[in-house]
Amino acid sequence: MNNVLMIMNARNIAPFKECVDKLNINKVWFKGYTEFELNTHINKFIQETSYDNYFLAPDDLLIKKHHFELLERKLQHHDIVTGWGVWRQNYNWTTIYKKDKLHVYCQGSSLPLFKKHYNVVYTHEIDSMPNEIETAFTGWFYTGAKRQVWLDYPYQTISVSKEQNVASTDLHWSKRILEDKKYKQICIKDARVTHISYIGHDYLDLKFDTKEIIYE
Amino acid sequence: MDTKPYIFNIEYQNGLRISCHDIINPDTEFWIRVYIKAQNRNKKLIWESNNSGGAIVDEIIMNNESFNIPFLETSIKNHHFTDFFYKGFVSYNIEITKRYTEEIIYSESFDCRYKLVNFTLHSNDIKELHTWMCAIKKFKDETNCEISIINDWIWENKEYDFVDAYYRFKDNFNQYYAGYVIGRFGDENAPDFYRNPDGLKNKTSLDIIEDILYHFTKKL
Repeated sequence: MNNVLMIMNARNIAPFKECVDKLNINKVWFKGYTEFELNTHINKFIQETSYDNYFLAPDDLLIKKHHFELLERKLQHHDIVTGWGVWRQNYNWTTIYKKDKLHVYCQGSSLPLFKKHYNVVYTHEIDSMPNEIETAFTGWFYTGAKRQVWLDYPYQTISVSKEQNVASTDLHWSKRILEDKKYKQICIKDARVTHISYIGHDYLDLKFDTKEIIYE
Repeated sequence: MDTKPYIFNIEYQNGLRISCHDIINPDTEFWIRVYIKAQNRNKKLIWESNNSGGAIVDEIIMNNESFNIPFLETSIKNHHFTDFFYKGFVSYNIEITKRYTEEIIYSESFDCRYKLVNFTLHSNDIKELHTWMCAIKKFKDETNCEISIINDWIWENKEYDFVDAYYRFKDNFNQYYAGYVIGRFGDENAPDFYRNPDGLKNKTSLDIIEDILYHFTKKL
């Protein structure tokens, strides 16, 4: 299969670079772009290229090579596959959601926010889950999908202008897919991902000053 | 458990830190009880036959009982935190009640499954570092956690497949669930008992890490 990994890269996390360097796949690095700016660039890239499958990951997720290869194999049988990990290191929530609905709520006139703790699978529940889990959310944990899926459900922020700071592209994507019931989001339990993120310590090193798209 | 209007932060990055907040009543005081999860496991050695027809010694678990041992108790005021300075691995159970009503308003257990546990290794001796890495591999297998290592030599060589992330000291990495510092601190006559809970006298490299990872397991 002809696959590509799209990387949302606004930080310089050395273990991430080391991990991605080991993956035997075409890569495109979107360096220094906000999620809102990627609305344009990711969709343009997908429309202008013809890979069979497109994977998407942010730059704070570490995956083992054999786990990524497992995702690639599983994508031959599913439209959407994803790895999983903990929401943050100081949470017992995983990125897997059991039910077929994502709950959102609104605060005043602001954009809808994600009730992240609803229907979540906890770390202590993972061992009893099946190897392939239909999830309501992927979190971009090395989420891979066939090209047609990305064309049907483009990468989009919830915000419609760059002044609004709600991105939640992962939520917005999964929610649209759930509502239409055309595709299933399948989490592969063995494809564990390490999430370098701890509430209170993360997002401090984001850099958006230099923007570049690099093909490898 | 509905914890509104309370916010509790339990951190295991450097010992144990617990902070408590009541966002409605500023006068709330909290009572914290910390237990150690322990297991009473009776085992028996038996002879088993292996695939090639030979005999091997194996063990069977006769019974297995979990229980809590009281470890620490303290009270704190609203919007305060308390630190427990012991730095070794302990399988904590934490219970927070309102000071005077004894109503349990929060409980949590240490659980590093699928989370990142960091080891900061202080040694220039390559053999000692390797010994510690072997013990950390065993710890990973037992707990099913993920592992990050802070040490310049190990960062440079990156020889261990089981490690999920390598960092140097200067990286100031701090995005992990639990953290342990391994080394020899103080001197033989005045060791740092939080980091070398059984002192330093006659301690091998294996003893040093065993005292951090298995000190309470051995003592119970």
